[in-house]
Amino acid sequence: MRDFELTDQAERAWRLADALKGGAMVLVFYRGDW
Amino acid sequence: MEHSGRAAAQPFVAAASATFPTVVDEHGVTSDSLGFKAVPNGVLVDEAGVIRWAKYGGFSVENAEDVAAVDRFLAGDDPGPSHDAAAPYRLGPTERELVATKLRLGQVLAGLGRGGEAVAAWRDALRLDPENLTIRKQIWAAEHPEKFHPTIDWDWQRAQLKAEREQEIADGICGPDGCPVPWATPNGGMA
Repeated sequence: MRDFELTDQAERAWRLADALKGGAMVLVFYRGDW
Repeated sequence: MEHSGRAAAQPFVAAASATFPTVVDEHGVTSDSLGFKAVPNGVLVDEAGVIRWAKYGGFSVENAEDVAAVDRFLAGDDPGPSHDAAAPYRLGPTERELVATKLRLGQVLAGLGRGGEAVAAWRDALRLDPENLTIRKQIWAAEHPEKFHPTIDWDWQRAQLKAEREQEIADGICGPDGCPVPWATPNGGMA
């Protein structure tokens, strides 16, 4: 999966590759009011 | 997935009291990368960055099969067969980039308070990718906020989608696979 970096609601950076260093990930994509 | 800005996502993050990271994708980076056109989606990624299981559309923590796949994955077991190995994104790279650019333009315009121009940019994106529900719902949310707050009017969404698609087909706005043949689609073209 291609790496990506986004920010959270508090504008802190979050990168997939960094998160995966801590183990496998469950990614859920959603939109709040849909 | 929130093209109108991170501020719009904050109430939902707060209400969920989430203990996991919640990142905001304002520009469709992940939908472009993974090629999905609708949410909610669930994707299980191993330590090497390999997608082990994915469900594009309809993923829910209230679905026992989805939860079981996640549980197996987190236990180190095979999560089982994916519903979809890859999201069926049929646009070419140029069209995808143009859609992404129009989405970003709309987000910038919305941030400047130029809502009408923002919706126009999102409509340009939708014209290129008419099956993309995330774009369509972004427009709905901008033009009909009362249909989303305080509760979601699902009946309105179904009726609106049906009416818009019928009009688009009548206007010759077709998907990347061409114009649908009404008698060859589910429900006789009345989906």
